[in-house]
Amino acid sequence: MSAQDTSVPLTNTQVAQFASGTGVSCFHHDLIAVPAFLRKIAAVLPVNEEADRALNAELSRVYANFPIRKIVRR
Amino acid sequence: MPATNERWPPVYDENDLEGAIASALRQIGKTFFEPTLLDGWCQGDIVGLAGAVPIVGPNGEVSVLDVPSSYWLLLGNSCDLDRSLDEVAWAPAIPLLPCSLLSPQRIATMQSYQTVRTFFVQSWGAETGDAYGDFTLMASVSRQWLLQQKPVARLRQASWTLLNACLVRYLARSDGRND
Repeated sequence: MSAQDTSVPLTNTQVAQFASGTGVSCFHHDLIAVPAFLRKIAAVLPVNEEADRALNAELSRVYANFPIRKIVRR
Repeated sequence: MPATNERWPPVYDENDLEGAIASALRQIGKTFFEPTLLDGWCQGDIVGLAGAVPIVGPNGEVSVLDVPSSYWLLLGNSCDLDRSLDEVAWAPAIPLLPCSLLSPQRIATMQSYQTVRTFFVQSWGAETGDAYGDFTLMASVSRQWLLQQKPVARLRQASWTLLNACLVRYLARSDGRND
């Protein structure tokens, strides 16, 4: 089932809520707006896939040196 | 909510959002933080907290990951951070890690905000260098504890707009299954 199948029309207030940041928790009633907003974010804030993969690999190498301590339950 | 009403951009549709992000990218090199802090907590505030990230470890045991960080970036929505404790008791946050951990090439790519899981944060004080937050290291912070603290720094509108866009991109980026 696509997102659009379950969508309901948005009020201007709901669109404004989503765009202003409150909408991250409002996806359930902003389903029409989400793809449009994501397309705009992708257009103006594109992901460099090659750089992204290289960064992820370097982060994994760095984090491998961080100690993990088990929490002792009392 | 005086703190949030004064700083959220007037975005009404996706075209406004595109313009707001483009404008934020142009402004980001100028000033990253608000010159003065208003009351309360907002998304993107930095809180001082020396600690480790609570995790479920490789063998399923409850553990902490010791990270070289003394500051965290609040990711909770500003409206949730403004609600009563009875309504919302916890706020998501990520540790801010020093960029010095990474190679200059990787830092440069983070600064362009073209990587999915990180958010680059300029230095917010003389004693701190540039840092980054990794959205995969999210943890919950007690809002009751936050009420006893003061923000160390607060993102200005442009840098908050970028954080919000990067967070939405990380959480909601299409995986292509319905393309």
